[in-house]
Amino acid sequence: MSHSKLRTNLSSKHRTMILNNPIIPASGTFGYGSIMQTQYDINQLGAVLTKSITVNPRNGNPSPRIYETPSGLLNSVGLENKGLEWFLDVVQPFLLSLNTSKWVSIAGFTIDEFESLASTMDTIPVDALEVNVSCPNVHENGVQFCQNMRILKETLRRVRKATTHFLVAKIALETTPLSEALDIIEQQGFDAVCIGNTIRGVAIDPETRKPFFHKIFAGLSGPAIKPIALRVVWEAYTTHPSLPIIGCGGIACSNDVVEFLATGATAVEVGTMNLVDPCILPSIIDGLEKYCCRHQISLSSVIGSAHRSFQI
Amino acid sequence: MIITNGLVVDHKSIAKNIFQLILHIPSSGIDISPGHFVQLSCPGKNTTLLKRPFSIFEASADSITILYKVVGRGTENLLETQVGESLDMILPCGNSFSPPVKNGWNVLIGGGLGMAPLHFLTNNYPESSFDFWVGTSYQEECIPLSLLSGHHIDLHHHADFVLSENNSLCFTENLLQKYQKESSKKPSKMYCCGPTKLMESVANYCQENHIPLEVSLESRMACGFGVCLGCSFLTTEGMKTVCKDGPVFDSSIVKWESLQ
Repeated sequence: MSHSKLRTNLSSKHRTMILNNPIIPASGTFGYGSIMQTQYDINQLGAVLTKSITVNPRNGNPSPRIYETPSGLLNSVGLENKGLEWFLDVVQPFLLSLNTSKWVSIAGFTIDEFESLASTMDTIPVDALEVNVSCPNVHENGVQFCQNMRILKETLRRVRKATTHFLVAKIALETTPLSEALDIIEQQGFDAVCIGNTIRGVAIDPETRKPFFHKIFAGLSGPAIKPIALRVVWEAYTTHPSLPIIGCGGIACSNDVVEFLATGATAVEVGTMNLVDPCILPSIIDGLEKYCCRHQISLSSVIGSAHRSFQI
Repeated sequence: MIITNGLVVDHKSIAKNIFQLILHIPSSGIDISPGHFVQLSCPGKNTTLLKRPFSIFEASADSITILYKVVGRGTENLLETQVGESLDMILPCGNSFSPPVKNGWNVLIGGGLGMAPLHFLTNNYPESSFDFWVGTSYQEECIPLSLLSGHHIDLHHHADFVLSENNSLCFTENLLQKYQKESSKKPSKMYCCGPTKLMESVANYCQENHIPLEVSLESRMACGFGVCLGCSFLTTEGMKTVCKDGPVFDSSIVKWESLQ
């Protein structure tokens, strides 16, 4: 089986982005790559995507941060990271030594922070920036950037202006109105959208009858959210077929990837399952090769195929 | 750290609600030291997504032994496993204890199954002397002391159940008080593993008495190898993960208020 059968073309009207395969680790489930590199050669991935970087170091949220649910995981890590300066000093050399596509996730709590991160990242030769607009905006009562269309537009406009990099907007699955958000992403010259991030949930400790997490809400991920993510990808592909979509939510095997591609995604991010099995990504790539071999097709032919069969 | 399967070669009850599981490791050459832990899950049982961390009680070239108490879905699944079944595992995870003081007085304080990694430490250093204090809430919850004994170990078991503020059974303060009352010799070094409250009490005692202490912390965790930061907590040296930077820490850097 030739690897070219897995090649995927995320290129937009503005920029080229061809990946050897559609498999990308979701930010926050892969560290910065170096730990996973001790388990397998991460250059075999379509792209390596870092944990989100913020301008300043963040300790994140107090413990507890993890709560397992049926087929899922609630987390309240709170974007713990050592900040931009540390990233440039420590992570950048490792990241730039990789032979695959190198992506960095950036997260701001103000529009200025997003702009500043994009501007700094513009000076280093990474291949793409994923702009985590699912973050809470401290100037707008903590409302996520992607949930306020005026703020989303301004954020993306200024990020786009600050860098020539390939840009991906990572939006929440709950983004409303979705179609308007996708319009903004396209109009502001972003190259792709990642759908989506964790879904906000709550857990209660039955012994104390209090919220389990200090911040009350936490992000639900894992196989439990896959059908919801597929539904949002379906809607996005229906209204915005020319905007490359990276699907993300509950992927655990190669068949799940096929589902996302058939629904309209061009690439996928795999998150929670990296925590369950650190070698899940190579096994998914292997499964996709076998799938293509068994069906005598290339993966690019799968993209959006569920819509075509639906129309018939 | 490797990802492998462990074949169940022995599985039995050794105290009330406490079980011993011995797993054969097919991969050879794995360097497992006292303090390391293993992440385990039962394939085919879909009631849990994440693996569960367990301290290693004993290890040989081709096997590990863990002790566990049934406390939730993960350990309920484990309880159902039979000899001959295979478990998914990641090991060794985390760091390990530093060596005991060779000609010194090494004191170990283990609360509940916190005794497990401390026993592994005594096993690995037969040339050192240990004063090993084990606490459980009930007498019947203590594993047979013969499993912990050795010519180089002075072993004490203290069972004492006291209702704590939130009505849970607690032995922590009493174990430390008993140790303080009965032991007059100043330790060269101390090690502690058990409930956070116990470790904090022992850490305060060691700080006041200028005794070096290593603690093996426990935390909810998702990955067990340092990528999710689900078990991060604040130390005097910044944020650390229990699973990757620990579970063993010099107690002087731990900010106990950041551990729930």
